[in-house]
Amino acid sequence: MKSTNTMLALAATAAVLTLAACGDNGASAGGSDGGGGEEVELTFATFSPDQEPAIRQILDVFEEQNPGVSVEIQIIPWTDYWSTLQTSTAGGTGPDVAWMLGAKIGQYIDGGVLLPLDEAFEESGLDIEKYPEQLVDLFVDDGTTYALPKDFDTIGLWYNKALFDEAGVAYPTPDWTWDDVITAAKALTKPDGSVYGIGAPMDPQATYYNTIYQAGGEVISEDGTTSGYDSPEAIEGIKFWTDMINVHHVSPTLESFADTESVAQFMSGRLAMLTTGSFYAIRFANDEYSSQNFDVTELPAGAQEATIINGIGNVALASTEHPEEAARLAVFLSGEEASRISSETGTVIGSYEGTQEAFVDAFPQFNLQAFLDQAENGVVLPVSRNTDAWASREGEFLTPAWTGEQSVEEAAANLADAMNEALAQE
Amino acid sequence: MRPNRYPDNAWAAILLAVPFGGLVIFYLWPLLRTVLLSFSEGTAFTGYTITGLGNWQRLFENGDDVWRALVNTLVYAAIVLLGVPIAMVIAALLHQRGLRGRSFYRTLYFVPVVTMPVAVAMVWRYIYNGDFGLLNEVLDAVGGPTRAWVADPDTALYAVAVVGIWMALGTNLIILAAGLEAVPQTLEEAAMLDGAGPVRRFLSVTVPLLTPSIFLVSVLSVIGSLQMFDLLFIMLGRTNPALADSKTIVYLFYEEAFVRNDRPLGAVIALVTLVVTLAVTAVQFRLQRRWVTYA
Amino acid sequence: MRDRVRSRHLVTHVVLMAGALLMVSPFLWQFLTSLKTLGESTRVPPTVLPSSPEWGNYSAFFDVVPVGSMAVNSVLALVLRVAGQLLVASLAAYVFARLRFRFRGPLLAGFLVVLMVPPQLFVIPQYEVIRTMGWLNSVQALALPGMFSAFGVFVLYQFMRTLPPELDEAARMDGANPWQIYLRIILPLCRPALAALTILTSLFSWNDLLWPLIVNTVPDRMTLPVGLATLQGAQGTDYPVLMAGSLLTILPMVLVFVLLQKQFIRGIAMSGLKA
Repeated sequence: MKSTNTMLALAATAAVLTLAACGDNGASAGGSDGGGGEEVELTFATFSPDQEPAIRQILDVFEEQNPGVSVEIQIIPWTDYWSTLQTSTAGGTGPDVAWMLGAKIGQYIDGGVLLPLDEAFEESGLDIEKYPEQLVDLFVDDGTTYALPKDFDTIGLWYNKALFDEAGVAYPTPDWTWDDVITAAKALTKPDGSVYGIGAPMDPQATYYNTIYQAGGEVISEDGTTSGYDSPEAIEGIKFWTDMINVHHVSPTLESFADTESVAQFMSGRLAMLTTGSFYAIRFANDEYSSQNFDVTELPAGAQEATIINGIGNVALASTEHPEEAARLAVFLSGEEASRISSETGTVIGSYEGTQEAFVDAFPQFNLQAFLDQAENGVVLPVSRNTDAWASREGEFLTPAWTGEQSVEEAAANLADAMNEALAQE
Repeated sequence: MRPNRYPDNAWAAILLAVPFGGLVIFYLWPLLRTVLLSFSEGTAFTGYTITGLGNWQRLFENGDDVWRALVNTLVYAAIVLLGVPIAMVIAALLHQRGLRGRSFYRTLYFVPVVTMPVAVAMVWRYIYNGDFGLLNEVLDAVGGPTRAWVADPDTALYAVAVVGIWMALGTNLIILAAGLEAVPQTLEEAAMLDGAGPVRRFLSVTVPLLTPSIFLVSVLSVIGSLQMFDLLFIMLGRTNPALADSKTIVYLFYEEAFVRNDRPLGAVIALVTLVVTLAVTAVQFRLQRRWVTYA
Repeated sequence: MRDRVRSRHLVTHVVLMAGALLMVSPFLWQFLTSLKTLGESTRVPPTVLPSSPEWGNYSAFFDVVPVGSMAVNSVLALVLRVAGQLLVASLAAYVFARLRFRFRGPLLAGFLVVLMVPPQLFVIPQYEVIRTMGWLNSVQALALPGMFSAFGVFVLYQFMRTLPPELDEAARMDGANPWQIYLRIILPLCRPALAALTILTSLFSWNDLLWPLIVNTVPDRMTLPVGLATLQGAQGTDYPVLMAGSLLTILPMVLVFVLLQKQFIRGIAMSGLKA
């Protein structure tokens, strides 16, 4: 008796070790058709508790239209979202449907862990033309669609009306150029350092990516194989911001932004202008001071108009036990109905054409139409197969340019080298 | 009868079975996986295949980052170690006989240990803030030097280390307090009868008996410091000009393994951390013979 | 004599109070922040007092985070992990500190090496082990790896080494075997160290974030720190609600600490220790 137990224990241990050694993906992906009136339970992973109420509302509609299917929301903290999703997905135990970003999807497609959504999309009767084209392309690989954008955001020029009034400077308009910004920023900056004309944080999506494309440059080549940082246009786009700090002295320093993030400085009335995304509208609206004093317009133009556009997609994971329902859910979460509900809550701009006015109406104190108007000039947030391999180095290499220790030319050249090296490994 | 050098072999095997089994399954086995991973290539989704020394080669060819991080980490560990004597003084004060409010104080000193790092970091960032910080205001009043403490490459690591001392104080205090309780009261009383003052009594009677606990907190403090990551991550943020000069070795590990998805290189960095920690701890163990006394 | 003691204590109180103030002032700041609006909380220069206390931040925490089920999971995981860690660590520590056997040195080294590996490294392989056992989304998954942590072994080993060897020898003369010595003599004497370990292990378990996230993917199996961490968003953090939640979350740990302090104090009455 005793020896049997020991044997069992040994066998169990051995089994544990060998199985773990394989690190196999398919262990839990049992086959199932999910049909036959069976109860189907799906898990949907997101990183935004702010949007949970809207998501719940969308899911209620989905559950109503799909009897027998219930969906549970799993909120994963933003800081751990990607490592958790990657680990559980690679282990075959991930959620059925999850939020995805363009910067991250390449790895998942290469790993073969996503379900194609083409079929489910066709069945849904949605029109692909109604989505911002740049964002749709972000989630398509080799003609196969793996996600559809559920929303989008663009960058605008937010400004503090009270500070403009105080300095007697006219509010920004959509036809402003870079020079107009500099002139206004100089007039708005107070010599005692209590107010700066503009915030120039080292924030790719909100600041320098926009101006690089406006100058006619690019962050990454169209085919995603080489860095664009060493071009004169890209350097010009970066200089626009570093000059604000080091030449015109109309922005706090990088040190200051490290101590107090730019949005907090803006909300404290320390910055007269800040370029940032539509995603802050809700936060500004909920703050008394910001709600009363802030407004927004289109980004100023450089050699051309451009704003960085980005969006979240919904993917279905191949490890799901209910592929059909998961794909249907992923499409539904990015569909017209979902888009309308998202816009109405004012948290995000829904991606589906014709549902977006609700977002503009949600906060009438701000000219949110500016974000929609700019979408046609939207340049999608630059990505490659393994975006983070180079995007995570941008800060490191551009810091000396921001602090003035190095010329932008030098910093950009070093960054381009590092980026090309990373891209060569993809 | 010749005395057996190992009289307890059988009992040791029985009693260690469970602890050792768990250790193998949950720690040594993962460690072995990591070693294999450091010789592999691949991604989380495609799986990893062993390819050779490539990752280690990368470390030695352009490992400037790693060496710099290593130095930062050692500096940080050395500063945080200063927290041990501070904890000793407080533990000794709390240990005085007849002191009222002992548990009240202990609780207060314990609070920082339970507080969330994010919450703590926010407060300290206000204190260190270069534009409006409390520290600068105090220094300004007394004519001292002011700066952006956590955004300045010259001071950021030290500023974070101070928070490290502050956060570890409670833990050190708990372990030292437990050690102090085990010091037999009779000894101190005997010393008191001999007319020794409280300070001398503490230094000549209590401290020698406390050395095993002091050694324990020192080793744990160093090991903990060598693994420091989240405090730096939260306090400095992503676009801090001081980041390049303040990164610790586990910060690098996090960047490679979790941000850039280069798990194999992450494994290499983690193993370097392990080797360095082993070396430092081995030195501490060797030195303990000079100053630690066991019963 | 008595007066001298009292005046000496006065100095002690001044020093301890000053130190304590340093220790808890961030905690007070946390409390003040928990009553501010989001705008006030990030205002620079900082606003010290909230214009009107927003107690709603506390109820907001309950609205955003399913506190009930998370607290239950956290408590269950904590109890299991602490019990397991105390047993495992005290057994191993006893064997290493008090028994003489072959390979003692190398085996002890094996235990201690584990302490020195950055813990982030273990997460993925440990996840694979738990998955293979089929225990994902369970309380034991939350508690298991932490039960075998080398930390406790080291703490108790170091403590047990300070106990005089005569204790075991006398017991052996009386015919006790190592298990009986462990249970009846060594363990009771370790009460202060066990209390310290309980506090620290509770703390590790209560605050653990990455591990619960990875092994437990089902929402109703999540723990409190996960709920708290969701408040740190991609677009900034809702500090007031985070602070309110964090204050509520640490209360149970403070309680554990206050209760276990008695164990420290009882340690004073310990007899049977000879120099």
